[in-house]
Amino acid sequence: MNEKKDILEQLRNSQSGFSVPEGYFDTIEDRVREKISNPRAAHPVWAVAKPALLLSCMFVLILAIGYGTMTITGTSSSGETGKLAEDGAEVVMEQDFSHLEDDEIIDYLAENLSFSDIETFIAEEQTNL
Amino acid sequence: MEDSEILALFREGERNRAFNVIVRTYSERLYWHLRSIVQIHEDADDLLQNTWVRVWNALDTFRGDSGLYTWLYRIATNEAISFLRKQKITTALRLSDPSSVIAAKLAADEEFNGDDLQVALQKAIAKLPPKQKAVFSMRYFGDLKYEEISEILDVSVNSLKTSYHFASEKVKEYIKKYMD
Repeated sequence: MNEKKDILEQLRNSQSGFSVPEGYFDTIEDRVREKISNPRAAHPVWAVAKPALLLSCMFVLILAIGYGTMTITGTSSSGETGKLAEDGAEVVMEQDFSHLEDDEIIDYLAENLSFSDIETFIAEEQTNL
Repeated sequence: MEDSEILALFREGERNRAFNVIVRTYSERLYWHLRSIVQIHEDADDLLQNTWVRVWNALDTFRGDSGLYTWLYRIATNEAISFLRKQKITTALRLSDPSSVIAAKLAADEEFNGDDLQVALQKAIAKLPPKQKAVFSMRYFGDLKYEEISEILDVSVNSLKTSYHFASEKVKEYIKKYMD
C-alpha cells in the first residue's frame, strides 16, 4: 500500500465539504415542474445559420489561440502566420454573427467538435502559455 | 415504489404522477452524481433540472432495455459531460486554465467548505478531461462497479479500468505535489 493510495483512501473517508441549501431537495419537484412548463424558446435564426457558423467558429477558436500565443510569446504578427491570421480575422469579421448569443456559439462548438479536437486545442493552448 | 410499478403507472396513462414519483425518488442521487462531476452547486442544480426536462421529453421512448436507474444516470452523465466540454471551450477562448476557474468558483461557492486537502482533490479533478472526470467521479465518489459505468457510458470495462487508473494517478500526483 503506497503513500499516494493512502491519500485518496483518506480523502474518500473524510467529509467532502459539499452541502446544499436548506430544503433544496424538498423544492426540486416544483422547480422541475416550472422548468418543464416554461422551456427556453429556440432561436429561429440559429437553425438556418448553423452550417456556415461551424466553420467560422472553429476558425475563430484557432485564431483566438494563435493570437493569444503570439501575444504571450511576443511573436511578431508581420510573419507569414501573423499575416494569415490577420487575413482570416478580416474574413470572419465581415460576417455578422452579432444576433447570436455566446452561449449558442459555445453550444454549437460543443456539439460539433470531437473530444480530440477540444483536447488538441486545450493542449496547444496550455503548451503555449 | 419499484421502478416496474412506476413504469406501469406511466403506461397506464398516469404520466404526470409517474414522472413526479421518479423525480422524488431519484433527484437526490442524481444531484450528488452531477455534483461530483461538475463540483459547483449552481451548475449541478442547472444540470439536474435539464436532466429532468430531457427525461420528461424522452420517457415515452424508454423501452426498458436497461434499468430506469441506468437510463437516468446515462442522461445525467451526458448532460454533465456536454457541460464540461462547453466549459472547456469557454475557458480556452478566454485563455484560462479550467482548474483555476473551478478553484475560483469553489472559493465563491457557499455550498462548499472543504479543508485544504479537499480543495486540492477538487482542483486535481478539475484538471481531468471531461469523460475521464465522469469515470473517476462515478467510481471514486459514486462507488459504481465498472460494469455499471460501462452500461451508463457505453464503454468497455477494460477502457474504463485504464481511464480510471490514469485519472487516479493524475489526481494522486497533483495532491502529492500540493502537499510537498
